[in-house]
Parts: sequence; structure tokens; C-alpha cells
Amino acid sequence: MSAEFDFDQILNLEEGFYQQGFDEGQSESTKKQYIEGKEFGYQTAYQRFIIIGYVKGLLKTIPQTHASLCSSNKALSLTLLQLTKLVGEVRPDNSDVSVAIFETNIVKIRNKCRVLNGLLKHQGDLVKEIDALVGEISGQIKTSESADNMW
Amino acid sequence: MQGGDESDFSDDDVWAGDEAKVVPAQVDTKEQKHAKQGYVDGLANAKEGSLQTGFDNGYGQGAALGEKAGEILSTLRQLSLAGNTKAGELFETAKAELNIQNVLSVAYFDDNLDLEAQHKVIQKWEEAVDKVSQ
Repeated sequence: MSAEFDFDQILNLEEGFYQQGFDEGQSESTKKQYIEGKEFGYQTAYQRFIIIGYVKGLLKTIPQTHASLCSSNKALSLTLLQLTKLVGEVRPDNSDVSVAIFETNIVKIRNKCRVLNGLLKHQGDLVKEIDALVGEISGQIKTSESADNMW
Repeated sequence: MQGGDESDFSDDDVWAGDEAKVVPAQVDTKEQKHAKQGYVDGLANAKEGSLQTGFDNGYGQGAALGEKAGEILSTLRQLSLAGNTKAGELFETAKAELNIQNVLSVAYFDDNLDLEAQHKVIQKWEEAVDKVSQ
């Protein structure tokens, strides 16, 4: 009887040690994966939302820098209104619905920026300028690529 | 137990007197062995969904930062095109400072990659834009 009791106790002890180690290892790897995911989430969204911010900046400054044109040109006013609606619909989260809206609206936003380019008689190509800027600011970061002082 | 008292040990039991020293060492070894195996198995079994949860949480915060950076750059660029030379100079500096590698530098985040307060670089440039817009 006492020999059986001791054996069970040892087994329980071993299981306890194993479980303690397992929990510690799982907790560490779970946190590591969470952080890796978060890094990639930050990078992806930063790259994606520069253009949204850029367009919001256009919508804020154009009525000031082109005040008379905005009041006289209905097409310009309409384009700015449409752009306001399109960027306003974009949501900063990664749900399926929000991502679908982003994908749809970003195409429309780019097209409206082309229209805006003509209406403002902007020298050069506004869309190409934005694309170049986004590339310059956020580059094309791969998940596996990690600079020493960056995530 | 006082050491050196041979009357405590029986000649028939060769293990007598050694038990107190041997058992803890055995337990330590077993603990290390099983805990190590458990740790290794645990490392290979990260809780499902942690990568996605991390991505989703980072995405929202990254979107807010990217949007602010875009708005700062756009405003400076438009003011520059409208003839504001100071805004033009600031635009070039802002491009360098709002680079993703600088904005997402670990220096601005805590161990959980959360911002402790407002992002210092973004805040600096928002203030600069306010000033140059006046």
C-alpha cells in the first residue's frame, strides 16, 4: 500500500514539474508570437494609412490654398465631398468588413485624386507623387526583415 | 539530527543516514528534467491565435500613426506648393523623420509595443504644422 502511494506521489510530482515547465514555455512563445504579430500589424497599417492621412491633409488644405476655385468650381467641390465620404468610410481596424471597405475605397480614392489633379491643374501626377511618398516613407518591409533598432 | 552519532544507523540498512541528502538531489534532477521537457513542449505550443491577436492590436495603432504622418506630410506639401517656403523646408525634414523605421523605433514603445503617451515624433510634427499653417 505504502509503495503504491509513493509511486503515485512521484508521478504526480513529475507531472507537476512538466506542467509548470509547459505553462512557462507556452506563455513565453505565446507572448513572442503576439509581439511578432503586433509588429507586423503596426508596419502594415502604417504603410496602408499614410495615403488616407495624405488625402485628409488635401481635404483640409485645398479649401484654404484654392479658396476661390473651391467656391467657383462645382466639380471641384463635388470631388472634395466625394473624397471626404470615401476616406470617412475607412476604418482603422483589421476586421474583414473594414479591410474590404479599405480595398474598395482606396481604388476610388486614387481615381478621385486623378480627377482632383486635373481640376487643380496640379503640375505633375498627384497619384504618382503620393505613391512615391508612401514608398519613400514606409518602403516595402518584409515580415522577416528586422533592423536592429526596429521591430 | 546531530552528526557523528553512529547509534542512529543500523548496520543492516546500507542506505541509512544517506536518505536525507540523496532524496532532495534526486527531486531537483527530476524537477529540472521534467520542467525542461515541459518548457520545450510549451514553446512549441503557443496558444492559437496569439499572432493574429497581436496583428489586430498593432494594426489599429499603426493605422492611427500612419494616418497622422500622411496628414502632416500632405499639409506641408500643399502649403509648400501654395508658396510657403518654410513649409517646403519642413516637408523635406518631415519625410526623413516620419520614415517608418524612425516612427516605429522601439524607443517610443513599451515592452508590449504600446505607446506610453502620444508619439513624440508625430506630436512634434503636428505642432510644427500648426505653427507653419498660421
